[in-house]
Amino acid sequence: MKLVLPSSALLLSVLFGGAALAQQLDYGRYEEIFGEPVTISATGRPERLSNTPVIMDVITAEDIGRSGARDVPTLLRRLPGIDLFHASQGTEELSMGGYVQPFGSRYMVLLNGRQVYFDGFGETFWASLPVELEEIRQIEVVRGPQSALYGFNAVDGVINIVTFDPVDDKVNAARLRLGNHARRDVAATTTQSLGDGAGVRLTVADDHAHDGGMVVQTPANLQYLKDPDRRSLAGDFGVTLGDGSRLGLEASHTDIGQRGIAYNVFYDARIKTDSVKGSYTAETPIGQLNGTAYYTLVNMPWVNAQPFTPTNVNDHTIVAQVSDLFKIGGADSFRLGVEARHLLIAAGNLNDGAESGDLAAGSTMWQHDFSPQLSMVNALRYDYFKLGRTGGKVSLADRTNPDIYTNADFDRSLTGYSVNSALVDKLGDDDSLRLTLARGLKLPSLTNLGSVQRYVPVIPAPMRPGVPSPVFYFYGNPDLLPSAVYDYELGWDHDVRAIEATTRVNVFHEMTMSHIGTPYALINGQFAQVSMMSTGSVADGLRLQLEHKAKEGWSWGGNYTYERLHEHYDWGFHHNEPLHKINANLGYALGPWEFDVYGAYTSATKNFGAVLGPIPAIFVESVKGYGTLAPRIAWHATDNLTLELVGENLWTYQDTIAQRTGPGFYASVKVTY
Amino acid sequence: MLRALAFGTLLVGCLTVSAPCDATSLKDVKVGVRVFDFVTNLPRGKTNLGIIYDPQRRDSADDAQSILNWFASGAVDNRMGLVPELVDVRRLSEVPGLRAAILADGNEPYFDVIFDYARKNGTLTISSDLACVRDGKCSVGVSSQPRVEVIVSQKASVSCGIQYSEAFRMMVTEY
Repeated sequence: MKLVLPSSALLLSVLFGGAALAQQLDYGRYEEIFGEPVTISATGRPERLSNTPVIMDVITAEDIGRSGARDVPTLLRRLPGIDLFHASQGTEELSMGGYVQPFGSRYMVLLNGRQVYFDGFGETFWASLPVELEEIRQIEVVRGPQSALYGFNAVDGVINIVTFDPVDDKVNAARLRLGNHARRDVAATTTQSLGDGAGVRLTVADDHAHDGGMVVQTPANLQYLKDPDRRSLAGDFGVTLGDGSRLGLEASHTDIGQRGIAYNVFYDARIKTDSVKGSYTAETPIGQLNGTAYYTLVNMPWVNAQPFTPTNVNDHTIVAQVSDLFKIGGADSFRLGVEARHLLIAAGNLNDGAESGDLAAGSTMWQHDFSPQLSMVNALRYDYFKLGRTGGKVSLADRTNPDIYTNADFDRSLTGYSVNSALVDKLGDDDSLRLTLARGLKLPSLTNLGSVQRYVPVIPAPMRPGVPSPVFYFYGNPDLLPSAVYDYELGWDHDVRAIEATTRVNVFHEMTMSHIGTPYALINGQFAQVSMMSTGSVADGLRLQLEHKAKEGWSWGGNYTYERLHEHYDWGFHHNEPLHKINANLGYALGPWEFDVYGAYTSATKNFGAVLGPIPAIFVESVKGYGTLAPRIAWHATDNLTLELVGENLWTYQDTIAQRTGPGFYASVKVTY
Repeated sequence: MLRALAFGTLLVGCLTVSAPCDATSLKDVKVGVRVFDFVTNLPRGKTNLGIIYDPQRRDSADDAQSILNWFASGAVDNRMGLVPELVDVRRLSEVPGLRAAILADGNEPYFDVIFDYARKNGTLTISSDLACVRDGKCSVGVSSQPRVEVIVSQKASVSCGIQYSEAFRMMVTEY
């Protein structure tokens, strides 16, 4: 069997995201009118959830309140088609539509339109999100490639977390959570009115638990144990100006420490993230103009990874976006957008310089309503990306052993276009049919493109005269190209009035035209990851959902996902992807009491990993199918006081070969005012 | 038995005589009032809201009174500061400068009169009678059953000088 590790694994990878929509929609007021969630994430055009032409799920604030979940990944895994696996006690990795892999996610994560997907590792560090569940209005999950709206990398979907509006929504809450594993989470949120049409929300949080669950507890591994800690401070300010335009400012800081794992190789890291964002929305004679700019600095003072000596990473992202949303006549809506983005990563001793990426993109969306029942949307985006490197070697004579490139090799550009098309037919009051076609682009990460050029001696001195010392190779490649992903989805929604339930059926066929990675993980007996283009894969799947929600009485729901991957070359993805996943929930609300239980089943998979040492090795190991159960009891003692008891993972299971996930129990007290 | 018979008769009446059963519902009014949030050229702050009705028709008068009562009781979230008042459609031309109006049930014969008034005064007219909007006589129509629908007449809105936010235009059906 051939085994291939994606080159993003184990490496500090830099993936940059595409356009992120500003939150220019007055969610609360539209929801009041239409009595259902509204969104702008699907097409860039405001629309009701039931009208959106894309395949999309929304987790509402009410869902979150009944979930018992402590974090966003736990909420997401209860949706169909989303895989979750644990890298450590405090970290989670998600995948959408298959392709379960550490470091190399294929979906975009946004917080109020700002990319929180971390460029440095090609990863979303969920703990570093500066948001508490109490602040979240809804989490929008869009399926399939969305590059025509969000740019490179949103090839499996987009997760947009939308918080409450600091002007219109008063979120005032304090919460204490205590549990086993020495869990101690505290958070407080306050919203203050600053006069007519202005408000600010401030949130502070401090979470702590003990690390554990490491399967192979060798002394070498145990030194990477690290208690997951998290501190977060965030502010969100908004004001409606005299002319009706809206100005928003957000700032946040998070500081987390965590252990992680990729392919059985451990690292621990401290990750500090700072971000500021400004947005402006105005009604003008040419439509609704939106401008957004943000800057994110991810500073990792240390990354202590088994393959490397400790290093540090600084990752800068600056984004500016302008869009115009307008309607011509009664049936045609348009969105025009431009985006500029600058990325810079300096990865300590992992390379010889600072690698940069400059992006310019233009996009357009057109929606035509043939009738109130039948609509079509088309979107197109063109990206130009300029790669660069400074501070590295300028001539071949200067190059050090690990660096096989000069700065001139990075002087190149990449271009590509993305397309989304969709047709939605509302067959009646109870049925709607959706057909979507998409072409998304996955850009090689900056790590893939060469921000890491590393040649790591395992044993500093030669083992014996004339025999080279064992090494690990990590070589990027500035000559890589974007990979296209084609996706076709068909969805049918049906309201079953007799039982007040909604059912959804979706089927999809996705083709990834190429992957980036190392054919064979071992080169000449040495562990090596050299970025190069390789053959692609095909994923097919089916998602079924049935759901009944009620504030009083019984609530219930469930979903089933079948996904199958076929690889043109053995990348190992098909090992990691569970064929079957089932989620189910049952709840009952009676006055101030709520009882809920959430269950999940995931079929067996296989993981592959690397064994480091003088003679590196790759292995494949089975991971048994498993079920989990998470019960919850809540008592709303008063309108302002809620007590909650929650169990999670009632029996121990493994979703990776390296980490065991044990039962968790906690009690929480929440005060609102 | 008599009570059941009376109830049955009323039910049959509701099913066969459309007018009383087409009465504006509280939810229709709640939806209609929220539309004001997305009109960009109406004055902010206290604004008179005419509840237009035909006093010659009992169903119309009852409908208008219900709407007024919902405002008075706080059932309708009136954060916009609307000041509701009953307006006799037959004396509409005597009412100075109404910028916003809700049409109670039973105004069908006066759609042209109302439209002329709205055009002259720049009045936003909201009705739960969608035919008024489809005919281009009312600016906004609302329907809350089986699901909320908001429709906008471009013709009526342009004639009355009513402008909406672009986002709102994309969320509704325009004729």
